[in-house]
Amino acid sequence: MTGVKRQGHVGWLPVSIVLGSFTHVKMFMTSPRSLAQDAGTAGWIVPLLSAFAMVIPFWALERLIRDHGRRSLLEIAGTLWGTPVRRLLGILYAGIFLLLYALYLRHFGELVVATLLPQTPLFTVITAMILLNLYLAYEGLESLSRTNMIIFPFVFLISIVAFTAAASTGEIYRLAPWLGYGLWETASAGLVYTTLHS
Amino acid sequence: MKKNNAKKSHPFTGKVKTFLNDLVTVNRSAGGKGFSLSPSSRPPLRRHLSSNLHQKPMPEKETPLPPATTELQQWLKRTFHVRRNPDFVLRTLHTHWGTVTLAFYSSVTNSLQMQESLIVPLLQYAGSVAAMTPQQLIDTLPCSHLTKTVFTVETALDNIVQGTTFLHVDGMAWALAVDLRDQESRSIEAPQTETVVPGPFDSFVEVAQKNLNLLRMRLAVPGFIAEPLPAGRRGRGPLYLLYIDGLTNPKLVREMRRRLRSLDVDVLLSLGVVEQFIQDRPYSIFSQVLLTERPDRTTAYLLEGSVAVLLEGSPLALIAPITFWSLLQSPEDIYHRWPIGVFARLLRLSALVISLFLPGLYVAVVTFHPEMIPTELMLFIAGERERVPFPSFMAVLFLELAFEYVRESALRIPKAISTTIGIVGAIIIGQAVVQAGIVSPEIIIIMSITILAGYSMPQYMLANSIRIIRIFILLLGSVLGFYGVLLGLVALIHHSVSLRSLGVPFFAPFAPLQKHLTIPVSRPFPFVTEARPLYTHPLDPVKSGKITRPWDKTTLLEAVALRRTAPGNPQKDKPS
Repeated sequence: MTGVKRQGHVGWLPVSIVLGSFTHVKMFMTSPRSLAQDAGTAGWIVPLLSAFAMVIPFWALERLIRDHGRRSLLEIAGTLWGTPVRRLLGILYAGIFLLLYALYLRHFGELVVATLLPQTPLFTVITAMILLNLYLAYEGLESLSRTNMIIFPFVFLISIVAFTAAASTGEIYRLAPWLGYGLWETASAGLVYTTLHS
Repeated sequence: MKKNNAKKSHPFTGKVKTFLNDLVTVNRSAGGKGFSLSPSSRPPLRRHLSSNLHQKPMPEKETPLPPATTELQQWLKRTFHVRRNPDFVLRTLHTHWGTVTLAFYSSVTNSLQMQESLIVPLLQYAGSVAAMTPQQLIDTLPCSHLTKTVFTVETALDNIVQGTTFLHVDGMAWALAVDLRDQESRSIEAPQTETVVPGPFDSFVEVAQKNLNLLRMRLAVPGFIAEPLPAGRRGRGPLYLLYIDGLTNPKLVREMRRRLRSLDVDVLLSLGVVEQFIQDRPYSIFSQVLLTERPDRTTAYLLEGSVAVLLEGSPLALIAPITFWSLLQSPEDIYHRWPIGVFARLLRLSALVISLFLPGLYVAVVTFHPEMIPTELMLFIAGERERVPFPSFMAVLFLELAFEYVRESALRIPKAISTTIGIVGAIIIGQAVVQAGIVSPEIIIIMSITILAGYSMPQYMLANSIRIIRIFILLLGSVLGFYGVLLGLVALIHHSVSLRSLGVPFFAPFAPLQKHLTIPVSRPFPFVTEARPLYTHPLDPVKSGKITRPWDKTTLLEAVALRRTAPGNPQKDKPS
């Protein structure tokens, strides 16, 4: 296994760990709640639908990267449609990131309030997390990936132990009705999940 | 004209543009300042650094020495304030072949050696006078290996203030600087802060030559270099940069030399000061170098590819690069057999965790998450806390401060009455505060374990850092419970992994994950450890043979035979 080889360059392993840890947190801490809210008992189907639906965007991304080398999406958009479109897409791109950040922060804050700090205002919890995130961002991606290298094995281990311990409480019949609020509602939830979260 | 004025941008706008430009672009000129042992493909991103900040070196002035004795002595009297400074001796020696001027500080010069090695040979000199060369005069002195030739006033000044004896022959445009220094020093004693049970009991002293002696006693390699470097504008120094040529990575040596040469200060009184100037992140709470008083530890790190620094007047050695794990290791881990060494390291790791988080976790549990405590214990704690009017955070903080006062006073108080501190501390902290209802007994237990765990750290500097971090974690735990402690933990890890020690990531080999990962808290068998640590990128990565127990019945005979015939093996030609 190799880690960071060059200064200012993050290798595949740190990037995988960063992405893995973010996905992991999203998967086990915030997504179950939003899935249950959007699709009821069919929440487990939504990620599957999303996984199938995401084949098309990923295929398009792969084609774009293959045709345009290592350039970013915004650079590609600028080449194809000109600077105004590139700028507009950049603003939209930043906006969607901000939106997702706010959404996950809210989800996470509510999770903390519900499980750990019931008497604490949500604002306090979220502010503390924003301050930490600012510090994490200030130190840069390299430090962030290395932090995850340290934390991720422990989080993963704890998750495995927790889910193994909780496995005995799972019952198949709790998944009924299988299509949750209905076929159309489940499919539309899958589409929303694909566009917003994936 | 109006058009030109309109085009001229406002200074504030220019600043904003520069700021935004710096924020998103790589400053190439500043990028070169970054240092990493890894081969770099592009300069790192450095923000808000301007290339206009570099300093131009001052041109060195060179004034030739006046050949006439009277003129030279006038200069010496004026410069060294001879009348007001009787410690400075200016002596004129009239010999049968000429007039010799001697100038030296009597307090740092060995008078007996001066008489035998300088004055007597000068009086007996029978060589040529008219065409005398520096080498001719040097050859007549028994201490010729300690003699330098001086041609300028500035060099003469430097040598005299360094403590050497200045020697000038009337009419010559050169002089000699003879090293007859007599350095006072305490004798070599046992270490004060890095004591071990099995192992050497010598430690560094204030004289760098003695410290070099202790190191050369252990290292018998011609490549072991002690390179002298200046130590401040007004400091005598020198600083010694130590490394092993052919083993230490030259990039490390160059970088440390660059940093030490950049020290532009009056005087460096201790290596603790040097550390603050040269470390990669001076604002960090963690020290990124190792200060040790042990010659055996210094030798071990030199052999692992690190560089070390000695300073005249400082009984320590500064070692870099190191990793965080170095701060958790003690030399006796190696001197003990492996189970004891491994156990000690694991114990210290657990002590680190306890020392950092126990008070914060305790306050978080009793304040925010009492449901996590077993019912009987929770009822007991609640019963004890009923008598205490303060919140848990205040009680823990009170004890923390009380322990700090005891520690500080124990350091400052005269040794004759130092037992008083122990008695007062034990009575106040152990008994009176509980009876007075200021803290509950379980907090005493929590804090005692925490303090003991903190002082089990083998590095004093790490223990100091831990004390401050612990208070922050305590504050977070008291405000946000487990959530706060968790935020503190993430911030602490994030800060630690962003540190570098002379370009080496502080959390190597875990972050970044390196090839051939060895777990630092474990202590491998010495007879199977062949390689030096990779984080220093040593030129010679192998430190021992593959087979160090050929007589063992578990060692393959074929491997023993191959070892005997291997080129470069010193045992190759010896009969088995």
